[in-house]
Amino acid sequence: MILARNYIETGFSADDAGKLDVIIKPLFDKREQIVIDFEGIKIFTTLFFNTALAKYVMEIGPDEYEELFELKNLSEVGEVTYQHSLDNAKNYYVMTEEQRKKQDEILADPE
Amino acid sequence: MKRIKINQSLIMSVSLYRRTASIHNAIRTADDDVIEIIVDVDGRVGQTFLFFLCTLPFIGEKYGKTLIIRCNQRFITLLKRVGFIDTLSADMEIIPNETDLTPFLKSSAKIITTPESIFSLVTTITKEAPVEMSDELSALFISKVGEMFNNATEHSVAGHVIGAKYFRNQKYTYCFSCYDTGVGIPEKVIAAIDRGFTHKEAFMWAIKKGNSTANRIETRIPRGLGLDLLHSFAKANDGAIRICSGKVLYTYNKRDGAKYHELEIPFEGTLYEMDIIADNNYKYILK
Repeated sequence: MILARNYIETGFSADDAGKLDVIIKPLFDKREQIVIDFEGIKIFTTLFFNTALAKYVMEIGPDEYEELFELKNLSEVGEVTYQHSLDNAKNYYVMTEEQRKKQDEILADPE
Repeated sequence: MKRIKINQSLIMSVSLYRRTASIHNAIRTADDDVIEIIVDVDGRVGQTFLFFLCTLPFIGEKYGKTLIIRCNQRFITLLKRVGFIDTLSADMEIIPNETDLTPFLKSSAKIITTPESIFSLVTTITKEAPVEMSDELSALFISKVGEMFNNATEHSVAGHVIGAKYFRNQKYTYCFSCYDTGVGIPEKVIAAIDRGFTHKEAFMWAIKKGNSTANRIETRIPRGLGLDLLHSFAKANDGAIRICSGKVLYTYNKRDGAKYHELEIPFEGTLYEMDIIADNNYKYILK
């Protein structure tokens, strides 16, 4: 089990996500069960969850993701924020290629 | 050298945003590389305008122009008082001040460059807000305001993100701002979603839950503006939210609800502002 507070103080930024991902990715690559305990972490953003976790939904799909990942002791703020991130990832996952392309263009060509 | 003269009284109103947009436009469209802005205002001046004034050099930088802002003594005193001048306005011409004023009302503005500086600013805003929040609400407030700044740093691309916080109305209203000089929300949506959208339609699309112009390249997962909590909070607190971008000024308060004001000239970048009304009577909790 990964105790998140050993690596991050908040789930706020992409940097926080990166620190946690160093631990998550090797386990994910071996498709090992990933259990993360967020005990003691109070601040979360969707940017954090998108970058640390929901990106894996895009790789393996929502069903396999939910079998592989388990999150424990999320605060109420964490739970709401995580669900928002997960819902967005699931919605994106089921988009057609055309819809995804449109969505991607929003960021890919900001100028 | 192009000269832009500001001589109108500038206090918080829709016309402040219109006037600022026209100054942005004058900078954007100037042929000269150096622009002199002469501020000569006798009437009332709001802190929001002072903040706008300090952000103008960044608009100049975006368009490869150098700005020289000349203010009279009264203005410089005001800028020093609110604490904006030292952190933001390196290119301003400063006349030595005769009196040594102590900065008051915890005003400040700074350029946001790192996730740590975002976290530090939003934590400070949450602590300084003149209301009592439960621990859960504080955490969610930090998350949502942080989300706003995170979005701005992505939108700004090669531009700047500037955060500001200050009191208005004799400490009765605490205001914080997040301003990015990047591509405005309507322009971005029009380019990517529907070229037939007006600025107002594009803005309304962006503000709708689930729609987003902010996602990270690595994940491609949309995040949305995350304004739900801030709207709920503004409603409970009798506070206000303002977002200005392109040809739209969006305002929200409990009395008037959501309103879209159309600007004839586009406002550069995107500005988020929130007013929190001082309130010692209640503890705000998460429902």
